[in-house]
Amino acid sequence: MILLLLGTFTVCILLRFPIAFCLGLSCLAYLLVEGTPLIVIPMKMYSGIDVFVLLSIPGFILAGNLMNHGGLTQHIITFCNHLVGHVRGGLALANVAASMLFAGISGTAISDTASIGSVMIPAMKREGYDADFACAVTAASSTVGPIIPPSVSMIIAATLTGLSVGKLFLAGALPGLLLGLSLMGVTYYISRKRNYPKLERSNLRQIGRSFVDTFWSLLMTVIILYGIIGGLFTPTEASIIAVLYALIIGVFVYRKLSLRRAMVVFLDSMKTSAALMVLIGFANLFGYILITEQLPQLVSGQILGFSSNPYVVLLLINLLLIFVGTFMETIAALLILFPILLQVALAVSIDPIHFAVIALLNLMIGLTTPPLGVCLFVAAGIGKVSIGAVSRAGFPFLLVSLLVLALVTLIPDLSLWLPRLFMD
Amino acid sequence: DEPEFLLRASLLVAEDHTWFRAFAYFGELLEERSDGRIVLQTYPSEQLAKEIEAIRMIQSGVIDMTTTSALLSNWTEIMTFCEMPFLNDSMEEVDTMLAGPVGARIRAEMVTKTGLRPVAYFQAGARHLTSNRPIRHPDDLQGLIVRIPSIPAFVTTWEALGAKATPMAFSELFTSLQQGVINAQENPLPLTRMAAMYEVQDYVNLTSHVFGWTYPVIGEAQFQRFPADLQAIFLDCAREMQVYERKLFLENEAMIRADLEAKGMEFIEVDRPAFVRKHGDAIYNTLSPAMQEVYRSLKDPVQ
Amino acid sequence: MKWGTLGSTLGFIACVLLQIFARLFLETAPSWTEEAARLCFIIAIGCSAGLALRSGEYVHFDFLYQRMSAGWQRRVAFLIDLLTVVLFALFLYYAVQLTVLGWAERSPSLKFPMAIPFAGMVILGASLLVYAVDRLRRHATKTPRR
Ligand code: NA
Ligand code: NA
Repeated sequence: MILLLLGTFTVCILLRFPIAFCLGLSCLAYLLVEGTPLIVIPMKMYSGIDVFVLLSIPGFILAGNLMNHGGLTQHIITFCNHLVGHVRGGLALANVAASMLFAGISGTAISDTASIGSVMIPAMKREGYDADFACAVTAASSTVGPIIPPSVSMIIAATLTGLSVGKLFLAGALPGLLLGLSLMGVTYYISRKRNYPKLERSNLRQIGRSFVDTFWSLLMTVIILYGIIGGLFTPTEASIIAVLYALIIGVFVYRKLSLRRAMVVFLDSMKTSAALMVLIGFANLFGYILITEQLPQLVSGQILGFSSNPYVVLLLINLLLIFVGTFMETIAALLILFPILLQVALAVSIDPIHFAVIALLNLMIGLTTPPLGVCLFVAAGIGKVSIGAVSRAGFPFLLVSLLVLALVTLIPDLSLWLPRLFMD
Repeated sequence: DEPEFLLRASLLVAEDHTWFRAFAYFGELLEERSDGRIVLQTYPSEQLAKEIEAIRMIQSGVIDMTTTSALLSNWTEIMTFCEMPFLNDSMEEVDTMLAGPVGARIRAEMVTKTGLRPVAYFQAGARHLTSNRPIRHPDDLQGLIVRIPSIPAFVTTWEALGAKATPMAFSELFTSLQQGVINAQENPLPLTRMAAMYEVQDYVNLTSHVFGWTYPVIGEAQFQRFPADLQAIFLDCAREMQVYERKLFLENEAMIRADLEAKGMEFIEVDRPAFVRKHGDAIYNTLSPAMQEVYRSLKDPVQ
Repeated sequence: MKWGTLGSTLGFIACVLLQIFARLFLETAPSWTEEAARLCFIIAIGCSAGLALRSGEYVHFDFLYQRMSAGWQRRVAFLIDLLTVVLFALFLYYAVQLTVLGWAERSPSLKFPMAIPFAGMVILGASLLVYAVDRLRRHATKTPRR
């Protein structure tokens, strides 16, 4: 029976069905054959969405989009250019740095690749960078966003398992910074070797002026994190405060937001959120079926039967997640696999917060792993180069990302130190 | 091969909880006495569904059993009696009440108004307040922020007693106590231990403000699908489950108290009559006239 | 649909703001704000789910599809839209049943019938069905939407 479910799901995925509908259709097939009353479909959709923490997802998406309409992406990129542009490979470094700053408001790696890439890739090509390198830097660095807080993926991971959103946010900060800085290191090394251009050194005034423009977005991240960590707001409340803040900044500081445009942004953000919620709702149903079939026990039995050494277990899980991450969208993969694998991790006494960071990092790396990584596709599309070329150019970045993953896996304190410091 | 009746039960408690162990025992009895015609699969820890959704799923025939009580007041008001503060003074009083007319009325309304048939009941244990300063008298509650589950009657009670009540999800409880957003919480001892309250709270104040219980239920439609002989077997097994659970419960209660003490929590005897006096008719006054009548049939209001 | 989305989105934003305000500045926080916010959220998602289908917000996976011939791509696209219609027609039918079931149940704090939030699932099913049927119709008129 479980084979029917998983088989239908796989076929639908391959046939280009939207992932949310793949989940829905495979559940439908299973329930029809089992003879379960189909009322369970809307019921599980409802209970999957009817969660207060999930309100923070449209909140953060909306706040990010509102900020962007004030020209934030451009401000961040300008600021990063002024800051690191004069170093060898300056634009490429600014690309990574921008992703790290942009992380404060962006929820998904794919949107980061698209928004920063559409500005950065053409600019880098103009300055004489190889197109495949430009695409590879963009794709690799965009994975930093969802690790550095705030992060939609982390909210979902927390919702699924009852972990604290605040703790998860904090846990991602250091690994995210480490990943970003390591990628900058590789970028610098390659740029030196290939003698990529550097920009003119900017004066303090220019840095200062561009900082003021990005300051407002950085302040938003600070408010969100301070509010959640300080126990002032719940994550949902923080996201709504962020919306209010972005509205005020958009209207009074950037002065680019009219009522009409605000309405368009609201609608677009809700559409993005709705697509996510339908995915979450069907995944809730899918997960319910997996549990009635006792698949989680089966999987953990298999893995734990192979070895009960935490490092071996983590290695196996890492391999599985990267593999899945290469062809499945992060959030869908998280929804289906995270609760199951968390059980395995808990069985060998791995801290759940630590494990969540590992899992997310894995799925992010999957997004840039050839041949199927989605971010590679998006970047290659913008830069008009072949997937093969981007994959080859991205190889050093992938290697470093895997190294960071290994460090984060082996050193729990990288993830756990900050949450312990602020929230225990 | 497939049994004639495959039942699925969704429980909110974990596998080591007495309720889950009672269901496991029930399942064994059922399978044995029905010669394998009924098989019961029990899922712990809200794996299948949260309590409210489990009820809806039973009503629409997706799953078959769960344990529930006061949550059913969303369907019929009488169920508020299942966790009414200061209604009973001991577990024995609860037993007496459930054997009487109010118990019968509750069981009847569950079948007619919610479509669920109660087949036994489990005591939930008394709820006690935990805190970081000893609370012996209601006056000690001044300025204390108490986390409560989102139940209107609990807000009424704690505010009448002089504390500040804050409804909050159970999942946020531990972190909020740690950060000092709230100072106290109230739960039965097993849950207090399960949530590792001993790491963030020093005192268990034996307020016994609620003696609650829960009903193992099966969907009425599902129950009526059984032939008469299986119905009889089912109810017999359920009765034995109740006896078995009570035995486990009593053993467990003593063990949990000892364990919490070993982990550093101090147990405080409170002036319970003072709590009852200060609470007065706070709950009674919030009840509808029909429910006030039921209340008066059990005990006299203070005034 | 647009106005429903906008109205209910503003609704849940207002509820959460009220909740923050009440908690920070008032003596007692009303317990109904969360319930009301979730209700608005469900309705907002229901309304925008269909709009999301129209603007192609549901992510899919292109790998195999790109390697198919144009003829097969057309057939697969038709199959996708057909099965989407089937899925949401059934979804809608059972969402109505769920709503009927919800009449007997009251929400814990505002005491509205649960049929109201469950109706959000009816809206969700209906809005997705409408746009899925629209896509299916385009196959018949041979102008598949990209
Ligand atoms: Na982020
Ligand atoms: Na980037």
